[in-house]
This record gives sequence, C-alpha cells and structure tokens, in this order.
Amino acid sequence: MKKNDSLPFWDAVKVYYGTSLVRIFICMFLLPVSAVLLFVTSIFLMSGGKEEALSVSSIGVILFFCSAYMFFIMDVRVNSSNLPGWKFLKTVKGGFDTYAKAAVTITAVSVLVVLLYSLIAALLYIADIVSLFNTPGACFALWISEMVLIAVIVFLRLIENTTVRLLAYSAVLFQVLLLYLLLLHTVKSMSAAVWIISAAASMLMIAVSSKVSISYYKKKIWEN
Amino acid sequence: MDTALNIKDITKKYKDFTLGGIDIEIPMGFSSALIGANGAGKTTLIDIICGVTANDAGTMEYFGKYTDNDRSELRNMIGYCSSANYFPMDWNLKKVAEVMDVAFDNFDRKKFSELCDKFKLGDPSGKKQKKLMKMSDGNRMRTYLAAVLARDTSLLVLDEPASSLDPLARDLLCDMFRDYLAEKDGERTVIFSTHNIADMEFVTDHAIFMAGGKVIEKGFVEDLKEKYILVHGDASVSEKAVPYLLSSTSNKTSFEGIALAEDAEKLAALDTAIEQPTLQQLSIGILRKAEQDYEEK
Repeated sequence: MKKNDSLPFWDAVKVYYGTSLVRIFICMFLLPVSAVLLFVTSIFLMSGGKEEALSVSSIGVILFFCSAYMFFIMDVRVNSSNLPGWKFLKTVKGGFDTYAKAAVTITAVSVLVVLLYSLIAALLYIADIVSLFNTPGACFALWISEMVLIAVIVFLRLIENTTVRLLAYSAVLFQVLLLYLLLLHTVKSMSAAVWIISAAASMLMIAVSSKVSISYYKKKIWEN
Repeated sequence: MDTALNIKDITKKYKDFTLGGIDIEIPMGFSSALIGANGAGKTTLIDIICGVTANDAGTMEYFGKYTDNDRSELRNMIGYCSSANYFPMDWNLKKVAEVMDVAFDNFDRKKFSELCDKFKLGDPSGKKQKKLMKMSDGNRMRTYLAAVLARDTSLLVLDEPASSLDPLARDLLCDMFRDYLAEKDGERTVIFSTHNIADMEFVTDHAIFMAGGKVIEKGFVEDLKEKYILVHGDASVSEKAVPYLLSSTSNKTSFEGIALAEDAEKLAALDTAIEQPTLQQLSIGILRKAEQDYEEK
C-alpha cells in the first residue's frame, strides 16, 4: 500500500517558509498597517493635529506600496529555484504537490489580507470612527488594484531570474498604482454593477495567472 | 550481491556540459564514493539520483523494485544533502527540526538533538539560536548532516559532505557513516562525492571515478588496489617505464605513476619500486590519465 505522500496546505506553507500560516498572515497584514499608522501619526503630528492634512490617496498609496512589496517578497520565497533551500524543497514529502499548495496558499493569503484591509476600512467608515477611505468606492479602488497586482505577481513567476522579476514587477507596480489613482477619481461615477463585475474579473485574473504559472513551473523548472 | 541502485544509460544535457551514458551499479550495504575533478558531473549525477534534477534519458532502479516514477516512496527512503545552501539561510536549528519533522515521516527529533550535540552545534530547543547565515561553512554542513542523519532512511546521498569540515569532524563523519551502515547491516547504503579522498578512505568501500561527465573507472576499492600498482623509481629508467604507465609525474631525479598490476613483473625488471596504491594515489593516477586522454583528444 502506498504511503500518503501529501501534506495539508498549512504544512506545505510551514515547509516552504519555516513558520506557521497564522504567523505569515499576521505579518503580511500588520507590516503594511504599521507603515500606514506610522505615516498617519507623523503627518498628523507635523500638521499640528489637522485631520485635513491626511488625504485619502496618500494613505491608500502607502498601504498599496507596502503590501505590494510584502506580497512580492512572500511570493518569491516559494517561487524561486535559485534561492538557498531549493534542493531541499524538491525532496520533501509531496514534492510538486507541496510546492503547488504553498504557492496557491500564499496567493490566497495575499487576497485575504487585502480583504481584511477593505473590511476594516469599511467598518471604520460605517461606524464613522475614522474615514480613512472617505467612500466605500475608494476602498473598492484599492481592492481592485491590489487584486490586479496579486495577479501580476503570480504571472511574473514565469520570469525565473529573481532580479529581472523584481525589476519587471517594479515597473508594473507603477502602472497599477496609476490604475488605483485613476479608479479613485472615477469610482464615484461607477454603478455597483460595474464594481461587482470588476471585482469578479480581478479575482478571475488571479485564478488564471495562478493556473498558468503553476503549470509552467512544473514543466519548465520542476521537471527540468 | 544486491544492488541499491542500478543506473542505466543516464544522460543529462546542459548548454556547456553533458553527463553522458552513465552505467553503474551501487552495491547495497556499502559506502560508495564518487570521485572526480570539479565539473566531472558528480553533483549532476547525485541530483538525478535524488530527483532534484530530471534526466534526459536512461533509467534508474532503486533497491531492485522502485523506479524513478516511485518518487513518493523514494522521498522517504533517500536521505539527501547538497554541498551548500541546503536550507534557507534564515533558518536556525529549531526551525530546521520543526520543518524536517513536517517534511519527512521518518525524522527523529531526539536523534537530531543528539547529533547536534555530537557535532557541537548546541541545543535545537534552546532559546538563543544562531541563523544558518551567521554560522561558519563547517557548522552549516554539520547542521545539514545532523538533519539528514536524523532520518531513518535506506540510502544516504551526500554531495561533498567533507569539503567544509575540519579533520576532527571528518573523522566523526566517517564514524557516523559506519554507524549508519551497521545499524541495519546490509540494508543501508551510502553514496557521497568527495575531494578529500585521503580523509574519507577509511569509509570508502566502493569507488566510482568520473571525468568529463562520464564514468571512467568503478569497483570495490580492494579490487581496484589489486588491479593497479603504484610505480616509482629513478628518472634514469622513466623512459623505459613510461609505455607501461597509465599516468605519471616526474622531476629531474625521480618519477611516479600508476600501471596495471599485470605489468608489475615487466616494471620490476626495470629496477622500479612497486607498491599497492592508496585510494588517494589511485585517484590521482586515474584522474590524471583521464585528463591526459582529454588533452590528447
């Protein structure tokens, strides 16, 4: 009888990152949030406590940038054949299945982190505590652009050289940032139906790029 | 004799290197050394055996019943360790233990702690832990070895395990190889590549010599020592001796080389001294011959 050679997704993540899924989630969520809090506090203190000094777009941009690089770094760790540990990871229980689970899980965690940002911002808005994102539409602009960014990160796995991948990512990052700013200024005129369709399309982009990159990785890198 | 690994016509092509037509049988229950100059193809062959690199052609049979398609079984049976960067550099002993525990069914944490203690690495459950990136090359290799030896495997495949170890640690490693083989006598096998032939001779039962991506000689060390002889003598007789020598070096006063044992009488008649070579001398002779053949081509 064959032994079960498959690891659950949380163990796959543990093998690839050396730490638990919960810790990864907390880190991925808290680091960009702490950058935003630091930014907000600094601006608030420098402006002598004027709330108007904080613009919606600047908070969004800080959150966007910090999370963008956080997602990228976490993705590189699981998707680079030239980093230390790769030979070990090729021999662990589950083999490619473990890789695929770790890769899909880290993408899912990135999506969940953005979802959590959006929910917290929406709750703060609804409760009228702090209007970080002024309107639900602004919050939605961040959601769409972050989803596009995650899809890009996943798709860029096709570039094997990590340095080239980082350069390509940095170039694309600014384009997506422009998309975010554009959405921020046009989102108010959009109907709810457009928002929902855009959200679904962005999620679909992630699913497609994930499928493409994992099958590419298997064929060109893993089985080479 | 049972074979742990039967490799037939394994080939792997890279842009600037080809591992070609490898045919070897690794005997079960013994320690086999892969010996060759840098770029001979030792690491490529080891990576193919362990499933880290895919071969372009050829077949492999493990323990007389498993093939390359049975990777899920083989992953638990083969303990593999690369020569460098085996684990991510930000891991420490504690993390290595935690991950190995998850990544393999047969990892023994208690044994890992004992091995860490033997290698003087410290306590894997201790609070103050050094990351691999801050360890010396030798301690990093000790960590890799402790991790792989803490698993209950049937085949141990190690790439240059002795290269960064000090003489005492090399001696300890030889003892560990012997203990590993003795724990399940005849059922376990060790394959390792090395440049430190003299230090590892005590633990080498079987040797495979590689050059230019090919196997140039193989066999049990005792058999090879009977097949070849070490010849040395005055420079004055070197010219007469050269036709019988497979490879040699000479200076103004003397020469030394290896020859086939069947030519021993002819060489003795030339007033040369004949000895049984050590594995180190045998390796130098065989590899030098391969180099000379390559230059002639």
